[in-house]
Amino acid sequence: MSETVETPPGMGAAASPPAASAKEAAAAAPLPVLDRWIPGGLFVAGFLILLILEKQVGFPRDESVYFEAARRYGTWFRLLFSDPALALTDDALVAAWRYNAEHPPLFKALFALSHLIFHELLGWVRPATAFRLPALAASALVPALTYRLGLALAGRGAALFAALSFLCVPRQLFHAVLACFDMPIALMWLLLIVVFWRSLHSARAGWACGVVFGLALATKHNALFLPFVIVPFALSSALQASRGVPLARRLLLQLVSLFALVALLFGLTALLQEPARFKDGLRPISPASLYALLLVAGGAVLLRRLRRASAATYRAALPVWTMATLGPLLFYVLWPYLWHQPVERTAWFLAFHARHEHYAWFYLGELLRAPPFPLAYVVVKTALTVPTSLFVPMVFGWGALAVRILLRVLPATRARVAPLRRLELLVWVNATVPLLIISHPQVPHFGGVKHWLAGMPFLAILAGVSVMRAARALAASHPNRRLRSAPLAVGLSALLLLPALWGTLHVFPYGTAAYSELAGGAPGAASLGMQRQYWSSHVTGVLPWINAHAPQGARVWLHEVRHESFRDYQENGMLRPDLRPARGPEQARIAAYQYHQEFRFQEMDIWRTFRTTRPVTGLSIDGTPQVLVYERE
Amino acid sequence: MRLRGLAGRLEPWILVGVALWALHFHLTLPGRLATEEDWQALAATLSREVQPGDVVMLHPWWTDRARLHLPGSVELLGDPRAADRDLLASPRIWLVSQPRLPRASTRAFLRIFEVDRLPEGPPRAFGQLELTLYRNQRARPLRFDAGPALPHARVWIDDPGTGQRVPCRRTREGFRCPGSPTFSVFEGWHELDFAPTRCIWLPPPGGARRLVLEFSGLPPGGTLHLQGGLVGEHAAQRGRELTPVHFGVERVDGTPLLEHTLPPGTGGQVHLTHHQGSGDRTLRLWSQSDRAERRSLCLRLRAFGNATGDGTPGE
Repeated sequence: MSETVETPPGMGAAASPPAASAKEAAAAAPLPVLDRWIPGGLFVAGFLILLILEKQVGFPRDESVYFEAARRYGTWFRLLFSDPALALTDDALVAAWRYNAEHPPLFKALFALSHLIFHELLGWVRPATAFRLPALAASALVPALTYRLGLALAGRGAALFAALSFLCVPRQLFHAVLACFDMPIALMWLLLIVVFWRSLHSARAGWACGVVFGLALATKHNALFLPFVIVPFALSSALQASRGVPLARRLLLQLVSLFALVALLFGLTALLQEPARFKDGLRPISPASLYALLLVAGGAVLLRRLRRASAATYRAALPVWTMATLGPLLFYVLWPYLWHQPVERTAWFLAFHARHEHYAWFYLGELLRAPPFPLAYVVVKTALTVPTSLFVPMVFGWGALAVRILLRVLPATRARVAPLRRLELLVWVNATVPLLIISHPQVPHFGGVKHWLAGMPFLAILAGVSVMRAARALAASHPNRRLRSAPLAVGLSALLLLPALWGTLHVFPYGTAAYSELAGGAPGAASLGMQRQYWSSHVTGVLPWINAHAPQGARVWLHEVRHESFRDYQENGMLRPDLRPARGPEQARIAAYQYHQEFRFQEMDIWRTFRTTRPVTGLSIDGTPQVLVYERE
Repeated sequence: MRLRGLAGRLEPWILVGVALWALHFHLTLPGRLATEEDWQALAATLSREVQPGDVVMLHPWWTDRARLHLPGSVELLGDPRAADRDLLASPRIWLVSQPRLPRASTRAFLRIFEVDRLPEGPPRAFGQLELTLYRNQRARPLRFDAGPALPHARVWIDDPGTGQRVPCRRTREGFRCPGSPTFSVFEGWHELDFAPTRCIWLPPPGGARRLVLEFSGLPPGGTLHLQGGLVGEHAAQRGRELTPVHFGVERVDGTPLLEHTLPPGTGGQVHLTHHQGSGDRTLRLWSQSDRAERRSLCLRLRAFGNATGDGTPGE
């Protein structure tokens, strides 16, 4: 299908729904040159900063698993070049791709290719840096895209504040350098929202929605929630666009009916059968395939007719169909592990996350081990980890919109409040939903803030809106009317960003120990009874001591550090190669205990085994013990 | 809409205020933290003045960085519930406090800690550290501690099914019992409800069998204190495969003096007391659980005499 464009594709300061007024059409005009360069500058600067910083960050437990997965994928890529027929057999695919099959492969495959090219082939960087390069690029894209979306919503000042503030959150900067999926899925979420917003003006972006959704599905399972934040907007835009065009409205309803019918057919088939039989029934020639074909072909026909009836309605509805078709297709194509057994293996992947185990997690003096978890957990954790000078404008930005939404819903106040722009609502919803998902008391609560990182760029934009509003209010209230709001906006932004940047640099690279001023920093959080750290990467703080003091060939127990990470520290020159990993204190000459409330008994194992309660050194952050090193007497 | 106007006027000033407050926090935080020199000076003083039986209480509880500096001979109490523990065996408590730390809540801490405890002079400052010696009026004379007495105990497994008594072999650390190569009884540091505790590892053998430790030569009279629970995460774990743990203290003739059952997942530490009349000179400590897996029981059995009333252990 060719692209249909009614309004220019750029996103201006007041991007609008399809039925564009003159003002909205003007706002959707091509971007000024500066606004096209700034995202590029943000990306390049962000990437270089992350590249410089990443060497200081240790290898968290999960990251070494992803390194290992990438190594295996890399072996398969080599096989693909040397013996494609063998590489495509199920045995070869399983051998390479089954490892860590609980997470989709896209970024692990990128880590693998980057490692092959930049370390093995070119030798430009150390192995860990080579693995991390795609993640650094993904992370650097987040501020750039945040700027684009912020620009569309609230102008340059708010957009710049949002973009710059994103990496001034210590935990976000920490996650930004890791070869993990939390930042990539945050990128994919943001990218899909940006592309979806553009799709209201550009059919090409509507097709891109399907592609981005597929990439998101191939990045992390959080993507499964994306349709819930896209489809209601797409349908309401389509309904609005089809107003006064009866044929378009009829075709749109037929399209919705087709989706509902296919969902009903799938649902009934699943309900009337045992889950195992339903799963077995999903074969190439089966009723399920017929339903899928019905959705693909029927949807295509209806959309083709819709395009002729109303281009705006077509553009609004297109993302729903492309996401439903291209998304799963790309997910399958990009994951070689699924190629021979798509249903069985996808079902295992989904079941893994549906029944994810719960890890112990220290929260306000209580060790959370199993659901139901506190409803306020996500909000409290965000408040205690995002720098307060960024969190407060986030609350103001989010709250102001929430109040407006509420007042628009209430009949008595509806007329007194200006209607929300669709983009305002889209940003607000996406600032809320990722936090809401994890707030559910039955959802696993661990891992700090990384599980709702996808909402943070949107919250940053809302913070930017608050800051710019405050700057305008300051300018208006100043007796010297000549005082313009722009310099005030710069000054206020700098004032708010400074403590955040200070705190971020202060705690770096120990990101999982970062707590905000509201928490009282790391010591205040320790007194509040918050999780001291997690993922084991803070061990880098004591590796220099171990390198300097461990006897030749000594066995070292790095508590909580995976065997793979131990190897990675050695391979990347951070730990002496002659040292050998111990499985516990019994085998070890030196033990580095990572302070976790739930693992306190393991420190006592060291005391008994080493016959001492006195560590020889350790890593503390503002007085809070993170890692304690014991040496056998 | 007046409210909106007010919010609009307040928003910039709140943001400015928050930014300045956050900056102030970062600028002043280093000055609120104890330095290496502070710790060394305090450790030197403590090394000179500490007496056998003294303990050090840390405030805030998580400041175990003190372990790097303080003398290894003195017990450090650094766990979330340390302040309200009786510390019956410790007539003197050294409080090492950092009251200027963010959220230290020193008043709230002292409200709990100072019950029946009197400071012997004002706090001494070592930079950001404060050292105060307290007399613990809850202290009682320790008359028996099963931990150090373990080498002199008799240890065996009672099998009610066969009526047999299978003795455990004495080792350097404690006792090794038949069954599993790791089935041993010893005294050592274990975590009970987040608190490092020296206790006797007393794993139930499984089935109806009981692990029994017999201690002789207890002093007459006083109060028996049995404290303990399951170690670490085992205390909190639930599951159908886990069975309750029964334990207690009994006379030689099997008359129970103290008994308790820990169902799976109940966590925490148990404190049981028994006032002995004329007193039994020989007592048995035992444990049993139908399934032995993850039932890592650790107990501390002590006997205390009566206090003199002036805070010093009498008798």
